[in-house]
Amino acid sequence: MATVTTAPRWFSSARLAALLLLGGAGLTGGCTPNVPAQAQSEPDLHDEARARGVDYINCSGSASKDYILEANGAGVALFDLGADGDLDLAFAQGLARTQDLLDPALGTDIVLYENDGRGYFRRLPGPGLRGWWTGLVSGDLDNDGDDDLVVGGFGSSVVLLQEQAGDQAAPESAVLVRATELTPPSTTQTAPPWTTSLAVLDANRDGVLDLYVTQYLDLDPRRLPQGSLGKAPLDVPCEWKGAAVYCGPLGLNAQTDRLLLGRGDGSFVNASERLQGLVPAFGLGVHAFDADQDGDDDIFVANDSQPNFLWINDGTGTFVDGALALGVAYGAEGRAQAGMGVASGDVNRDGALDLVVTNFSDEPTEMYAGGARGFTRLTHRYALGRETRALLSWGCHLLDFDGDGWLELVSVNGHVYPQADLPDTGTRYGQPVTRWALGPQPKAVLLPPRAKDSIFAPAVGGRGSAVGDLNQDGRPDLVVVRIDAPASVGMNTEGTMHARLSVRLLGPDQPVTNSQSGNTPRRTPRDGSGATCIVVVKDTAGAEHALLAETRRAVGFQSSSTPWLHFGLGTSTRYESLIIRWPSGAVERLPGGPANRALTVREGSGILDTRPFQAP
Amino acid sequence: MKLYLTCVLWALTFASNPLDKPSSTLQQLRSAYELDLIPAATALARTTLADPQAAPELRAAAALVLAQSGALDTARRGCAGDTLVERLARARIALEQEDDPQTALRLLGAATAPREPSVRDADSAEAWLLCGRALGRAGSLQAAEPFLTRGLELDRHHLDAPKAHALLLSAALERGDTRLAPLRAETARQVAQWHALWKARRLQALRRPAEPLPRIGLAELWLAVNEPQRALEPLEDWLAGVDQPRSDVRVLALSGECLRRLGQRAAARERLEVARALEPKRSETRYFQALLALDANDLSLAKSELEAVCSDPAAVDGRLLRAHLDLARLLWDTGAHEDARTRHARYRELGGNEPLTPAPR
Repeated sequence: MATVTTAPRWFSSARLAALLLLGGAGLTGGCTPNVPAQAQSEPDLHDEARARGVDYINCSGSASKDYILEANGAGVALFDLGADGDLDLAFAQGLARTQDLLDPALGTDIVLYENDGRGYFRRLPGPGLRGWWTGLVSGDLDNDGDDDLVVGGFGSSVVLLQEQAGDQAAPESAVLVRATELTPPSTTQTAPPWTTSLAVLDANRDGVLDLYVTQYLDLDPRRLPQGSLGKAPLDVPCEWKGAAVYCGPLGLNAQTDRLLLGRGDGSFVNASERLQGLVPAFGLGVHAFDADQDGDDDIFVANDSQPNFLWINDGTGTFVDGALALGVAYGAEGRAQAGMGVASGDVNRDGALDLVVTNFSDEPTEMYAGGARGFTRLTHRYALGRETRALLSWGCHLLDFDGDGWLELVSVNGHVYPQADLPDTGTRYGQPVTRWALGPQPKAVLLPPRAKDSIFAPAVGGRGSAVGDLNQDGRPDLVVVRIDAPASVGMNTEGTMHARLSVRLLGPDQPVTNSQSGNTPRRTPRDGSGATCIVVVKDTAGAEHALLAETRRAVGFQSSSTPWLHFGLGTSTRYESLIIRWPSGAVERLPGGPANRALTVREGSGILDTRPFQAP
Repeated sequence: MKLYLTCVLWALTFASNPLDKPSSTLQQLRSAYELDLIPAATALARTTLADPQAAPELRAAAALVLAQSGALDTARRGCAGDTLVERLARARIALEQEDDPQTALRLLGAATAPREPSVRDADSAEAWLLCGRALGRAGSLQAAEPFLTRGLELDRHHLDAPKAHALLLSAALERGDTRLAPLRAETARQVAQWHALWKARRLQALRRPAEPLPRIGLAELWLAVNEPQRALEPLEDWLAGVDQPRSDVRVLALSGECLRRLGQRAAARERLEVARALEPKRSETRYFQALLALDANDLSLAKSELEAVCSDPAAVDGRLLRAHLDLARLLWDTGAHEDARTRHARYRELGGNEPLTPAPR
């Protein structure tokens, strides 16, 4: 039986409830290391891409990476095509050479795969795009109850709406129809717009999804920079550690991000003026989350070699950049870092979302603890400085892959410069995907690959990545785009001794229209974007703790992950209760139940569906 | 006159000639570390550490290069001595490569509350700064503050200065000091920008040793922070490095100005005269000569030169902005108040924001 309360802002009631809950559970630290030895002998995430039918090979320009566009690779989206309840795949794709952009005939399509429901895939015809595609994000953009897709690219970005969805017997009948061009209608730039990552969010809480479009830099394919930038003799050589490399981003012109408000039909209106003080920046990663715990969607943007943005929402969809004041604009010692990917999660189980931002080599992957007064840097407390220094990291995830109840950090790594393989650079071009356990021990513990076919084994550079339960066995799997190489699909087989819970949060099942008036009451988007779930769990000693996660698609770098929330319950066989904070402001408390279930919850309707996990 | 110029230029050439010979090992290692040109210097660093006679300064510089390349053990072993420079290098390695602030603090003998903040080597800016950084890294921003402040007092242009200013800003933000934080943010921004430019110019000078412009840029950066001696060095380097007499009026004029600021008026006059003879109408040279005349209290000469500079079309250049103010103030001091106001208005029009009469100190 669900109880529903409506508050003007959930902050006062639910936040307090969560804090009391955590306080009552005695979660004030003092954890002791307790990594089960058994876990170390288990397999982890096997790369089964080929066996499962995923034959995507990334193409990202020349192997020598002569131009900056070739270095960034592509993203991947996990989304439900055909509304049959499983996660299908969409990969962005590039071209063989940057110069090929000058020939429209050489444009490429995105690559789609359909899931058979057990995590085996069949390649589908693409939607017929032509271009160099970079980032992807999924969400129900037209409020018709199914997943749509936004594809970002160099030159143009498009919205693909899913049509004819809902026929579970024939998912192949679902098609992605090109609906909207996101390319600015007029621009004074001579270079094409270059979109990297995209995020869906509900900026103004009207129940309609909006878009944050991250832009990178001006690159004119007719005049590609090489050798040095600027006018001789005060030109600056394009060098890294003394080796000649491609030029940029520093020395090239940054582009300006955009905020687009949804109209509810898959079209958008430019509302970038709501980003107050917006300046051009080399944007690479974007993640919407509730940074200041006030119940609305804020936006973190990882900028390359420039201060990051943290757009703080005033609750109406107007934003100011709070990155400097909240302590996430720069590295620990004031240097603007080369931010790539970003993710959030409650690492320390204190009821506030923490933040992780991946960076360049010689810069740490930064981790920040969320709190009432901004963010506190945890990077060095967790020894991530030392752990990540040699890595150049892109996609990232804070997720409990092994189900022990503590989040892990996964970062997808790979250097941008093939010259990294020259002697004495302190790093390498090809780098493995890495994973660290972030609890209960006080420092990050690297989890090495446990088998040759582990997704964590090969030192092949990755870029975009997405997580989701591909075979519906309750364990989140990991899909990685490797640059100029076959993609990896890491099927999660670990944590067999741990119980889990998967939760899908959905907004009211009614179409929303007229999103622009500003007078409508706060609503939850139909696909549940922005909804937060707190799972209360009792451990074997009887102590309670709370696990928190937010429904967010744009995670990591240029990629889109599952809308399902995955919780590891450790050795508990049940959960005690669920607390759901809806973007509308409502808070629901649902009674506990057995573990190892996938629950679908709709706002105001309680649990719609409970089903056991499939056998892997 | 020509003969005189030739003599002066030859004299400049043969006074010293550092660009004709490789820079010292220490310079090479330090430049490699500071400009992140590590792979080019690792062989030299290994050779250096293999030499048991190598001085501690060399060992320290070599260790930093090797640590940056990933050879941490070799680096640590190579500078295991107890001299200050070796401990500084090991502390830096611990902090920057190993995320180990406690080792850095121990190596530098840092003491914090409840005792007075102190380090073993109290005269070393770097020791204070590294300890401040280590405390910041350990999450003790408030404890870091006096260490960083002391370090910056000892050397405000230290390589770690941008980091120190950023940490000072973080400390102000952490304790919610809304008065100090914006000031520190602006200082941190300016210092970071200065250091970024300084590194870029050094790299340009290294890559194009024959080009005067990067050296001029370096000198201007140093002059902007009132360090004429450090400004003079890259210019003298360039002048001494030419293999035949040649001229660059910009280098000559700017080096003259550096000498003036150092109080070496005769040498400054000589250098500026050479520059003036090479390009008589160049406003920048005339402006520096006017400043020299002001120093010598030759107000008449100063006034005529400043008037010439300010009436030249080139006077709208930002580099000559101050000439308008200097002229206005000179006129004011000599009682020509109306003219002074007019000149000051022109100065404001061009973007200046200083008052006509300097605030009393």
